[in-house]
Amino acid sequence: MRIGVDVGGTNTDAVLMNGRRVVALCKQPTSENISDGIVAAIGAVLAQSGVAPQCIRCTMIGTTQFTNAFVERRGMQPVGVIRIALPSTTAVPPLLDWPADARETIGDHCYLVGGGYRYDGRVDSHLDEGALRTAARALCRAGVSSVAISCVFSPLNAEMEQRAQAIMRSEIPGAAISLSSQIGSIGLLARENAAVMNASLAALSQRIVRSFRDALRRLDIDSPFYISQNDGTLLGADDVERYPVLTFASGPTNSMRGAAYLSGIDQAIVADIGGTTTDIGMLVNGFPRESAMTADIGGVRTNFRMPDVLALGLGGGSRVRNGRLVTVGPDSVGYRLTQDAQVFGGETLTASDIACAAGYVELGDCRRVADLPAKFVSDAVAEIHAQIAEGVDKIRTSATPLPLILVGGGSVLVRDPIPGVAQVITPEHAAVANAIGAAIAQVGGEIDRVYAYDTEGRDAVLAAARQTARDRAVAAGAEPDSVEIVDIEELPLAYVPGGAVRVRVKAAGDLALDNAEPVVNSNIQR
Amino acid sequence: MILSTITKTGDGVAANAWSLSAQDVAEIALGATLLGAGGGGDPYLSQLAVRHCLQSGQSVEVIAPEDLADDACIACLAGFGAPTVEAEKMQSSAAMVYALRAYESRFGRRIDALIAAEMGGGNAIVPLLAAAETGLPVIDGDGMGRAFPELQMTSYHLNGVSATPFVLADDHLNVVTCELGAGAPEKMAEAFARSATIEMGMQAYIVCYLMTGAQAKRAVLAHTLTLSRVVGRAIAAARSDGDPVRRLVHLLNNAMQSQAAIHLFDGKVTDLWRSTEKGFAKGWCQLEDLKGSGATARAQFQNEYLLFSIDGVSRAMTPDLICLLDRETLQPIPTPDVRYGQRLAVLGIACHAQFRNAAALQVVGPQAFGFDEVYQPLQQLAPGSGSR
Repeated sequence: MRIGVDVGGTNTDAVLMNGRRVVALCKQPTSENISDGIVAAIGAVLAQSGVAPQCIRCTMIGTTQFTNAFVERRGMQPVGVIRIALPSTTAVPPLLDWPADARETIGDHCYLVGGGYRYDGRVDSHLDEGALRTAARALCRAGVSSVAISCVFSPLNAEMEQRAQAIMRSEIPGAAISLSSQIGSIGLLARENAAVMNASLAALSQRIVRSFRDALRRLDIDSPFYISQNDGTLLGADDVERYPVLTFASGPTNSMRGAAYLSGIDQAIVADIGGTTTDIGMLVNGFPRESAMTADIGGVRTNFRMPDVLALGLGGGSRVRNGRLVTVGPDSVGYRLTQDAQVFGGETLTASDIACAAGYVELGDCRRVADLPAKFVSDAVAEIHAQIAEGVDKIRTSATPLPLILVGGGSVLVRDPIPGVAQVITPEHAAVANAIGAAIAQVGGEIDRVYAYDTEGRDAVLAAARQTARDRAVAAGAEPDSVEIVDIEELPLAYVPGGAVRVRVKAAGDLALDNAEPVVNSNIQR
Repeated sequence: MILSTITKTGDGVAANAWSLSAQDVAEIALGATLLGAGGGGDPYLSQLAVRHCLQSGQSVEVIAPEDLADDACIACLAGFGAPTVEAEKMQSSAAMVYALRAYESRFGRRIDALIAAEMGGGNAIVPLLAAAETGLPVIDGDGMGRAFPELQMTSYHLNGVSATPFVLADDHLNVVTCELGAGAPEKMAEAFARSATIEMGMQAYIVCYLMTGAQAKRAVLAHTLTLSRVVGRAIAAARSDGDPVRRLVHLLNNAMQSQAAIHLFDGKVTDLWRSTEKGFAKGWCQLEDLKGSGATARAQFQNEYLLFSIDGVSRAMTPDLICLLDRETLQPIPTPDVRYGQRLAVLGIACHAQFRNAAALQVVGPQAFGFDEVYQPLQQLAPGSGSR
């Protein structure tokens, strides 16, 4: 048996699964202190099913806590920014494209030092260890204990970043270090940005991962736990503690993977209707379609590969107003839904109240909304459907009608047909699709580097890259027989001689649960 | 002050001079991404660097080519290398300035103003960065009006200005100078620059095409920096329209001339093939009509999009610009960023009239890139499809 948990901004959901079967599920409000909400949700599914904590082989947690913290500039800390690059890159100093408020939190602790590689991984400039030590001492004096290190072409060769990490650790006791090569791919500024974001959340991630650990301990669950990362695969808790940015896009990924799982459909449009927002995305072969655009998170450009998701300000907690026109959202009562909504005895009219008045669902005390005028209710219902229809139309890639899968706690808001959609499907357990997406997450392995096709040969390169990706997935804890190559990308480098091609191969497989102690340590080097 | 020595007006402010704002630079960069026709690299990093200079109190003066004194000395400055390397090493103003100074000291000329090689991609912005650092003015113009992959594919070359002697410098301040022997073909300048750049780690700055003000008045494609800003502004304005692509085409045709831009196709990328030959990223992408008519289009590229056909019939070809953009955001999609499943609009934009004669087509026409097609202008290939 395994448990999937989704710790969202509004709700904490838990599901208990036995193989592919959902045994029990529960939705609880997210608590101020995260671990209480987790204890309540998991405690409830264990109680419902009568399963003992010792029977839980592993727990998978998906969370938007880190993304939300960065976007809301909560719990961030100053960061020492070390860029190993001189004499290159001088015209574009670190943090140049950051919004002022985030930059203020990060502080002005940027150091460019000598070093860096060429496009083929050879040394371009030698690492200036003296300058690194000087920078480390200055950071120490300034009381900065979290450091982001980037280096020119470090995705091809991470040695200088690792050496710099060792130097930082020796000079700054207890420093938290974020290496750009562990996070991003080619594109120094975006990769450095991601490393700085990560470093700014160092203390917060320790606190949150600790609260996850604490919750499981209180529940007497002592089997391993994992956190889902951007591509829907799992990461060990220790790795998330050090690299929280790797979870930034996991929310939409989990809900879409969960939707595919619950509906058994792998080509569809998915709308995840939450308390505050609706995320609409496309499911292609059971995985979310990735965005081609560079991802801006909290106003900062990164090169994360994110699911292509359209966010609408529509959810179960959306405020409904009866003005000249009936409006729904974009503001929401959020986590206060169960206090503020009228069916729960509050004063605010929300989309959930409309769903109750329309007879779509029963929540709280539906009699409280029984005397809303029928015309008003039907107008609000029409507005909700119109918003979804517009979002679906924007995200679709062709005129071919696809099914629309509704998931999330707010999926009860939609019941009527949507134009241009083959059918609207709300699968069983739709409200906890996110937690199910976390519970069915796979373990991945990836390689991303530049090869010379002219000397090594394309077939040999691809075979080697596939094998490396597979090996990494298995090393990360995947069942060897279940590992499949899920993505291959070849990008020839323009103007570079020798048939230089950037090859990115991703493999994923089911978590090996038969081992007594599955070790998920991903590809992060310690 | 420098202006007074090189412009006709002589009063320190040229008639058509303007000083760039950070907003201008962002708009020029966006416009140059479209004019790159899929190539030229991403100007994002370069424009960040220039805006940083402007915020630090430096300035960039732009002057119109017609206001140049006939004896002014103008040099073309460009980044030379691979976009992938630029993504890592970004830009070094120190290396740019070093290349300019090296040119002056090696060849005994004092450079009065800078000009771009191409108005597509990052090289539209590189001279602005050097201008901010040196105080030299930048000329409102370039040699391509778009992006092209090779050094000789310019209006400068077509008007008898030689790329050589040139100076290449990298961020380690290695300098290579090149002079061609009498009678050597101009293409050799490209070959020498390319091989030196490989040794420099695929990123260098080249100072080349030194010309007088008098030469520049003939050889420069005038006002393309302004055009780039206008295009960038049009993209930004059209984004918020209900039908962004249609709005953009309308704005472009207002800014240039009627039928300069034609909306050729709306499609979803359904197939993609890439290879690398002699350092050029070649390939094609296939698009299927979004409206479900079954029509299939193909854009062939070699760094830039060079040939576009619908159901096997050519609709646009180099040197006319073939631009692929996201239908919603109007973000131009460079050739390395094309992905399966993207929903794109294809625009054809007429190239500068200078490129449409026989001599120019030998250098930048379809056959110069190994295609069999004989060049036909965009407007003839796509009759009456402007309102598609």
